Amino acid sequence: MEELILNQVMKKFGDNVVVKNISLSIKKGELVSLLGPSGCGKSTTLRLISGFLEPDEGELKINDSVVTHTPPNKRDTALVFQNYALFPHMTVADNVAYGLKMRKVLKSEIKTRVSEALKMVHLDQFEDRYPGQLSGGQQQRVALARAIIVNPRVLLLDEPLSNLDAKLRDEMRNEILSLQKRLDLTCIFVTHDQEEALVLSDKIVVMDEGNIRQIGTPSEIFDSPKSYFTADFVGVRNIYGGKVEEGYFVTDQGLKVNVSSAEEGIKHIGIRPNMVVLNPSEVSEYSNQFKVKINQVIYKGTIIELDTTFENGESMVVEIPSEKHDINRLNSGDEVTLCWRADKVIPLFE
Amino acid sequence: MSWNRKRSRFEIGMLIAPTTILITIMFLLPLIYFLRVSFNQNILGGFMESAWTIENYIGFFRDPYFLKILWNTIYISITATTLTFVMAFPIAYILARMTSRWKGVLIALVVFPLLVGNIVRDIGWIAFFSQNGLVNRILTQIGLTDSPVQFLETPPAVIIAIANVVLPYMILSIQAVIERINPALEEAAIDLGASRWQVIRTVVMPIAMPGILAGTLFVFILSMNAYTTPLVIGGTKVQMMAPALYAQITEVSNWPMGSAMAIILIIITLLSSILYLRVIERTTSSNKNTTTTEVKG
Amino acid sequence: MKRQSKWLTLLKWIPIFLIFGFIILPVFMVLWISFFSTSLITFPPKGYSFKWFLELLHHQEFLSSFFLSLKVSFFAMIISLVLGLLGSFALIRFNFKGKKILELLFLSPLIVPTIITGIGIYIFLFNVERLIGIDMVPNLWALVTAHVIICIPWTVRLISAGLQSINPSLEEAAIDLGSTRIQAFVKIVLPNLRPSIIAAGILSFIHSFNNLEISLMLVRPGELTLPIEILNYVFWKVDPLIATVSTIQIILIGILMWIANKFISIGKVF
Repeated sequence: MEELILNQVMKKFGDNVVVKNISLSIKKGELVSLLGPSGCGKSTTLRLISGFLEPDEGELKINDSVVTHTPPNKRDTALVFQNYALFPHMTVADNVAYGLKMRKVLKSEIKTRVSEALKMVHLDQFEDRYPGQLSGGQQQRVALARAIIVNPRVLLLDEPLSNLDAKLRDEMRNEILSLQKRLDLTCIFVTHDQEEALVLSDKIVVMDEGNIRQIGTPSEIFDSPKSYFTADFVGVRNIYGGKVEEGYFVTDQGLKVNVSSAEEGIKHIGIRPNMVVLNPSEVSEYSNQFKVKINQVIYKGTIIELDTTFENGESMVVEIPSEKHDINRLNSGDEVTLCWRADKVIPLFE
Repeated sequence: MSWNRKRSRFEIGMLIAPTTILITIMFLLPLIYFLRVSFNQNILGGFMESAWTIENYIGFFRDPYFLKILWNTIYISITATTLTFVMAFPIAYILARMTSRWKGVLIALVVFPLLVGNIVRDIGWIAFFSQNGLVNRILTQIGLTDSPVQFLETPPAVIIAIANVVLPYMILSIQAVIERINPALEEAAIDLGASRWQVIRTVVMPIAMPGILAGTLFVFILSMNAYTTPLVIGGTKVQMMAPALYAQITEVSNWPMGSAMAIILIIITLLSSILYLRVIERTTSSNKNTTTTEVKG
Repeated sequence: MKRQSKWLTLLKWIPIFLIFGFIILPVFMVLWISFFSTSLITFPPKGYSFKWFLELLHHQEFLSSFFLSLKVSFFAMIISLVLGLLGSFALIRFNFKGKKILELLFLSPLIVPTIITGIGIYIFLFNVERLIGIDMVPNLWALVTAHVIICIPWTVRLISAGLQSINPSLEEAAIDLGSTRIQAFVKIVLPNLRPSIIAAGILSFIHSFNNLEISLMLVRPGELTLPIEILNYVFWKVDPLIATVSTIQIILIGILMWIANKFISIGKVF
């Protein structure tokens, strides 16, 4: 059941087309993230879905009814703002009750529902506090409760974890996940952090410059990015341009790489730094073996990062586990052999 | 800055001395003189006799003539302030939330009449409201009345003219507070189902209240103290405190009464200020952070 | 917006237009009348003419009162700027006992009716006159002093606001590099304060120029400030001539405002 449909939506500000032509459909109960760098149009898309912006072209449907021109206060969406936007002059309870008051729900019902909502976010003791007295994490939970209590068809979150420190981030992530599963909420959130997207989403929508680059599950996006942009964005640090020749992918500067299926249309190949092995004992396992010179050795705790250069001048970043290699034996200027398997080479068609 | 303390005190003294001396001698002292004179005995036809009598104050509050003036002043001030608020709030809200390049132009348009001077504007009102003025001409033209209606020298005319003078002050002070309110708060309210009017009533106004109150207080004081406008527009039929007390001093030569009126006026405005400031304090409780433009944590 | 009918949107804007109209109505009337051709103001006017502007040249009194106002307000502006600068510096950069009271003192002329302030100054000088025998009132400098007193709240407020936004570390850095306090003030603070000073100057000038009440007891026949000159005329009659005087004043203020706006956004002043 498609809860939310965007059909060829375009939005421009003056001459600047911010959202070019996006079509998207989201099922009930899905947790979808819009992932991309600043300026890619993800926040604009969120505002289009919530109703604060109207598209110049295209159509939006929620639960099969067209909402393209419905104002935000009549749309069945609820937005959790990046800076929470809690009403400072109202108590936590009043904040959470606001949406219900606007829907003219009976006072007695409001009271019970507010208590329930606050209990769900573990803030039942804070009913009479004011937002100014709460920590960031607590404020966000109030914002969540305030949005969830109105039973929106689509819950929207704007960069929910960006403002939090690492520990809070984990807590909130779990909180959002459990709430979403429990209430079977259809959720869309916007983030520029790929890790956030990977952990939270059922589906990721990668966006760039107003276009959707790729839609897929976290593993699809992470393991099989389809374009240069997506690969680069999800951390494939070694990307080489070139073309397929005689069953190999030959890079622009002449490296012949073994790939698992040498199709004609491959424009780039990508290799993750942690997929590369250093001086292995069983070299024959790897169909790609190259001699490189180490430029820099960077110790990063659990991994060692090597910045290397091939004979033809191209470079590669390698991440090797530090318990398998002695850092004292690795020096800049050393010549080593790098190996990787053909099936770990990611073909990129754009 | 951490400096030698003695040196600092000397420096501070030098910086504030001229202004402090000036204001104390030529402003505060005269006010005390007024206070003293208000207890003097007036001599008909003469200057006054040094005394300690409260007959001026009693005379003021016993005389229906003076009470009417005081009542006029308060009633006109309250009405003008209320009228001004009703007009100012929508403009202030729109200006505050405006982002186009016309914003500066509109603000200038609001401020400009203020800087033009009261007497100049009163000329405009006379031409507008007089028996041969624009309003009467239009009214007779469209047949609403046969003979010219008397607008000048009526309370409504004075109220309108005063409201016109103070309107820019109110608009700008309300605009300033609304601008400090994070627009995301209004969006959050709309997202939760509020209409624009509900947003203003439940979110914007409560948060802007201290600024609104400060603005209305300032406007009320300006109105209470008005001289030129009530003089020119109100004439002899609608009298307010400031012109009346001036007349007591310069025309009737009753310095004690004029001084008593001055003191009464000052006390009323002082009391209103204190009352207002208390109310403002109460609407800004310490546990509410009302300028949520920052994120905590 | 497509969702609301165009009529509804238009309806919402009508009150706004009306209110803006109300704001500029009196000024508009004055400007309009100054071009009426007949001495008696009628609606609709019998014709339009520039003649009243030329007629003004025959009315020496307006010219001389204009110059008197100009002189008084100019001096008042300069003096209140200096005092305001010194006072603001003390209030913003230092902490001392009674600072709040001092601040209140400097702003107090705003609360007391200007007419009372004017009378008060007259009384003070009158009594000094009786004591020391020298003529104190009416006198140009008495007038200037009175205007300074009503300008001080404006200069203090505006310059304080400007000073607050200047980082004190700048002065400290200058002193650390070897300059004296005064040098730091002149070379670092003043240049950064220029917009506030200019705005404070222009606005206090305008405030003084327009103020009628403060001058009432401190002028003498033949030596009136422009607002008082206009007021006296208005008691007699309201005709295009006096509207013309006002129009010229309006244009002048408009120009000054435009200049001030280059240095500081007018809205922030109030």
